[in-house]
Amino acid sequence: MLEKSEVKRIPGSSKNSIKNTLEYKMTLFFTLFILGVFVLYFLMPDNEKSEWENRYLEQAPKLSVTDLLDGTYMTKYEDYINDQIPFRDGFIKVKAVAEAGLLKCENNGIVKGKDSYLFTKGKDDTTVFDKNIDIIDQFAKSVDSRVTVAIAPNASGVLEDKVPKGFMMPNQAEKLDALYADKTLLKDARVVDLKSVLRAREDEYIYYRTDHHWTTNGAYYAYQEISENPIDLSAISENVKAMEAGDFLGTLYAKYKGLFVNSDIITYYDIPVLKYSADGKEYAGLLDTDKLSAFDKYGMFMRGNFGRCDVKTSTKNGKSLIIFKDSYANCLIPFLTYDYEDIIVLDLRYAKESIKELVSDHKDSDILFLYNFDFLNEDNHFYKLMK
Amino acid sequence: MIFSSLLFLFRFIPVFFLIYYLVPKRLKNVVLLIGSIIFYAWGEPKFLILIIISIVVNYVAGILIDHFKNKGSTLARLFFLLAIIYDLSTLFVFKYIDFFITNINSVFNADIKLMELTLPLGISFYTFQIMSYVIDLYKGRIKVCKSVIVLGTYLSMFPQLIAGPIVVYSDVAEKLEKREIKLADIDDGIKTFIIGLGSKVLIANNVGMLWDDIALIGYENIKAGCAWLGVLAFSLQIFFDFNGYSLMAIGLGKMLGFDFPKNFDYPYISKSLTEFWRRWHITLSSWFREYVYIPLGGNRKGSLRTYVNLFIVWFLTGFWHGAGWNFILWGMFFFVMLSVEKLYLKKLLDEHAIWAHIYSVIFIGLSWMIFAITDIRLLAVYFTKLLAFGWDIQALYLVRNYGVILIVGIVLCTPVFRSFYEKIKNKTAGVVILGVILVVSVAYLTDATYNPFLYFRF
Repeated sequence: MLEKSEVKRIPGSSKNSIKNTLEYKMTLFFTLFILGVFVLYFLMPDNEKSEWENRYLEQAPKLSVTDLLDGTYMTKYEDYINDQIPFRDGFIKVKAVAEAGLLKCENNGIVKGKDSYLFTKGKDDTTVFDKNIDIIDQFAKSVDSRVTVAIAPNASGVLEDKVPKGFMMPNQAEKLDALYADKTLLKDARVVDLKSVLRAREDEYIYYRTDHHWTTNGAYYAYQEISENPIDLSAISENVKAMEAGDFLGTLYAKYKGLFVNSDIITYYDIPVLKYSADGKEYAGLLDTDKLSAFDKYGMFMRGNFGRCDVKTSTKNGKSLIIFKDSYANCLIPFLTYDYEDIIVLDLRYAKESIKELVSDHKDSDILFLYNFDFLNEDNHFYKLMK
Repeated sequence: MIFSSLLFLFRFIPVFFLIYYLVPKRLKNVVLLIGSIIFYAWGEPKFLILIIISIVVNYVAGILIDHFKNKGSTLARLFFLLAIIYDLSTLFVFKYIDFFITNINSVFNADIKLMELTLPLGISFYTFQIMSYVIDLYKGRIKVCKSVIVLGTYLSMFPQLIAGPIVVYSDVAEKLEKREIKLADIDDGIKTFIIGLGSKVLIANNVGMLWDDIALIGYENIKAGCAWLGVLAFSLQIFFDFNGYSLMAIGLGKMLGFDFPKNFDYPYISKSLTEFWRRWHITLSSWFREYVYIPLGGNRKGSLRTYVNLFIVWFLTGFWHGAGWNFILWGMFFFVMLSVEKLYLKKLLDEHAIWAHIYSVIFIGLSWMIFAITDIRLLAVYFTKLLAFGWDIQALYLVRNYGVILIVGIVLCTPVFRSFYEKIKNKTAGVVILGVILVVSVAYLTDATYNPFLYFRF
């Protein structure tokens, strides 16, 4: 950012001023780099989203007096500058290389463990988990329906030997064992020990390496335990072919962004149903295979998360089920269509209706709570159960 | 706005410096003043008024002091005192009032409502800077500043506005009126800026995550292994963060045509805590020496008064860093240690260089814990953990993850690479190294999840 006129003002440097300028290589590089990136900000079009990071990028904020005065505009503008830097992906890669150079196994709070499994860092504090279990316990006491509670441990609770020793995170296995052993909590519900089920299969591909979900395979083993009369995979395969989609880089990778990770493979069964509607809109089938070409591939299951979904299955047995769930359930629900004729799926984060009324309207339905551990230890929407 | 941000690098720097270099000399102060105001107002629009009032009050006071001083009137003294009272009372109200209310409430069981004011960014720094002007003027050490633009430029100058160094008026008075901008200085300034940026973004932020991990595990749950790793990590973080900011400020100052004083001089190679404070935040200790210790009589009024004066200075130094008991405790820690060194340890430390280094590093590290852990109860827990022998499994992980950056940090605390750097800094190799540091710093800022600003309490 140095002007020629500036150089001329320096005594004794008026001759060969250009050549003189070039001698100051640092100034030259700095000016070219800063001005270059500055200009490219304007020349390159803004990106709407980052496929790699699995998120939408901040767009240029609109100027308004109120936003300017309370500082909202400044914050948004700064986010915009950060998100739209030219060669954003390139810079992020440079950081990943530098982190690898520092021999760090962690990037952005995600650690890479054995066999390139990724895990999230977190506090060993289960207060929220306890609080949510309490609410579910009260709920189970207050209803007459048969209640099943199934808590899926996350990969870190099952594949313990793949987590780097001493990594900071809640001890899920210990917590779940304590819960299973507790004879007073959840005594009005059937508690399914998914931890032991998944532990027994720990050598199989039951969790994604780069995503925080379990695989369809892992979900199937959980289904076998949850269902009282589970259908065999071979029986499903007779009618529905197992499909595979590769190159899946999930949510954990979107944060980690480090080097040397193995992408995942998604397996799915397009099990036909009679009717599927989500938040009032009808869809053909439980799966959205279009999502396989988008960044959020796991979002294909149940077509994503909705406040309420209604499934009319091809099974004719008059049985119905209400599921309270998070996204872990999305790849398991297709298996449950062999057990129930009607399934109502509720995601408390987005559900708008009164749960009390819904449950009393469906007195004959079984009720299933299907959540992953981390979700139970984070979410604060369970109060809706009592409304 | 902070230096270590893409906004500063790719919006503020290009636009501001283009204009600054293009305009004729007589307009440079105005451009610098406006640029600084935008820089400050970006993050704190509502507190801009406080700086502007401070500029006007001290400017008018300066003119009046100068006017009446020549006539030998006592009015000069009055206006001097008024200015000082104004400066200190804004600092008191915005920074300390809630601290006093909380303590009055707990001692007298009273129920006075807290004011809950946000601390205006940089207020501790700019208050001290403007006070240096009024005091020096009253003492006749400098000439009055006749232009409100010039005084405003001095006080609000963006490089040192929010995190130092504390540049006293007399340091820059001459350059404020007349300065040459030389290409060689710009080149030098850019290098200093990049080293500062790298210190902050690549080292301070990286080791800072270790310190945060210790908090994540919880001070109650750690053993000596993690506790000492925490001491090491925070010691490195605060040094590279603070020195990084100072270097960026000094570099930007050079690019503007100023010479700011050095703020850090390898503090961790000190052989005593006394020496540490000659090398750490030099502009702050000089300020306290110049404007508190010496006016109180320094060490010229007998040994009892010397220790009383030291006590006052260290109490204020601690309290300046934050309105909390831990900061006072931190200041007192240094008062006690420096007094002990003065009375008993000096000879011993001079004779045993290696032990002097070990003693200094450990006690500096411990002092940082008093500084970093603002909750006195948790501070006590942490100190017991330092002695809870045992090696926790988490410590193993932390060493595995942060080992290399810790070693890099430790090495760069010492001057081992200084002569190497001096040799290459004007050669292509130097430019390449600094260029890589710049690009990698931008990469870290692009993918930043952790980029704290540590001086919000100051």
